[in-house]
Amino acid sequence: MEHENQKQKLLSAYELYADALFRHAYVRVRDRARARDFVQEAFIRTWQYFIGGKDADNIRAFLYKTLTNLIIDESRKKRESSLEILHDAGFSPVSDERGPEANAELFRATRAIENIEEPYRTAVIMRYIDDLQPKEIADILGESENTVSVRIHRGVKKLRDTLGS
Amino acid sequence: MENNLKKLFAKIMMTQEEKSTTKRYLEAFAELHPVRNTDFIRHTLQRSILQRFTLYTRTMPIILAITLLLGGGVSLGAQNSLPGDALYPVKVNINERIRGALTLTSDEARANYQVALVARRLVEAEQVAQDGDINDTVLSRIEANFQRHADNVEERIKQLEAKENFEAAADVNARFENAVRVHEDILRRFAERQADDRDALETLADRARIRGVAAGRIRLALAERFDEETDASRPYAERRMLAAEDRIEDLERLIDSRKGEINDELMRALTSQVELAKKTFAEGETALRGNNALEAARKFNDAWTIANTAMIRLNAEINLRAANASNTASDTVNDTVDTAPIFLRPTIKTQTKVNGTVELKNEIDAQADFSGDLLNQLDALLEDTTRDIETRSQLQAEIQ
Repeated sequence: MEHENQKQKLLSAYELYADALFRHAYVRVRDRARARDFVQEAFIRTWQYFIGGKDADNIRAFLYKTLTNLIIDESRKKRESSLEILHDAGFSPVSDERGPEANAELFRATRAIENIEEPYRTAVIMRYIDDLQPKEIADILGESENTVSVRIHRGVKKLRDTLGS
Repeated sequence: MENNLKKLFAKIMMTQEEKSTTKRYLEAFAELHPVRNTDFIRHTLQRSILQRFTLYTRTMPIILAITLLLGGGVSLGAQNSLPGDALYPVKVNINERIRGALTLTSDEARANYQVALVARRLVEAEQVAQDGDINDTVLSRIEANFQRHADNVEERIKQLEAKENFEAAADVNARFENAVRVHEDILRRFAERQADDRDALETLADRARIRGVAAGRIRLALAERFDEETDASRPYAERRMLAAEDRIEDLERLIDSRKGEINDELMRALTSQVELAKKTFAEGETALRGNNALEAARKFNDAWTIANTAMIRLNAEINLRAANASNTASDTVNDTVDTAPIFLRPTIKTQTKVNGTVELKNEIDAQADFSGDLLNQLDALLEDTTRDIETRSQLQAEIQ
């Protein structure tokens, strides 16, 4: 049955990629609860895509693409209101005991990554944290492989400068 | 560097708990929105879970500041506020949390208080829908609060289960399931009537449904557990008998005290529910006499559910009318509002056995230490805004 097949596809993708997607979202938004919401929403959007009778050949790339778009959409909204930034920065009613603060090195690295500006940051996260190949990143972002490689290079340079200083 | 980074960041992951709850949520979502059915999903696409934290959160810092400055005087006026009112966040975020922290001692009482809050959020949605001024912002706020309380309830049920307090878990779960199912029903009826707000109301009804389905699954799982423990089944059945008896009496008392406000049609429906509950209760007694304790417990639980559902419906009706009456008193333009009971239904919907799921979040509890938490949040806020400025000036320096 089509429904069962697609559901199985979604759930096995969840088993395989949920942690990596969560990591990706977390590094970018630095909030566990929001990162989880993003991941959940990415899978739900993917399911809704399936419901529309469509299929994703490369579900991993599809999930990353959806997740990236969700995060970008949200950060655009965020800029509209400084109060929301205040909230998102500190007034979230979610406790976060297992955040990177628990590990000084990780904390430092997360901050260093935050200091890389876009689009280089996304490229670095996808390459070195999500362990995606430049070709895959290019597919997800809709850019050429060459552009992606340049972005990775510049991002890494920036990261080195920050961590080394 | 590459390896180090990967290794370092591998430490970031969801807990097993987080991972499995999200998975169960996805499964339930997929079941509720099967692949072949394309009509149903359209409207839910528009309003996503993300809005939970983008809309409702906006006023929170201001409200906190105001409350701290004024020392709580504001919160008295907030208790009757509805979503869209300025004081509504005070009620939801401050008053209710503090009440939850101060007055309730047992786990079960706290859990039931959360169930009451879930029901209150849905009643608010119904009141706003009745007033006809529901909009996306209002709805998102109700929805966010509903989800938060529902998460809390589910978390507490799990805690009760973990403590092997299965009866309390089953009881809280039954109240929760009844409440979300009844209100889902009422919301759908409002949705049928109001073309403008249909999508918004149906989305909330969908959320309620997911919770109801999840609670139904927990009910079945808990029932199986009781079935296994046959030694304890007679005392259990007897306790359920007392609970059902109490609930039927509560219902009769409520009907009696509200007699003047109940129209004939509603009265007939309520009377038939009372009779049905009593009949089911009598069947339970027969089973108990025949030493079939499990069957008896089931019957008593059914009788309790029938009475409880009727009570929720009656209370919702009374609330809606009261809200309507106060509106028409202050605003004469509004007297065209339809006052017919919206949820009349001669028989209780039987609870379906559907595989459902639970969506949980690690959120602070109603009784969390508010001040300590606030200080931490302020620290984090300072830290993050400093970083924000640093990043910006850094960017600016690069541009120049």
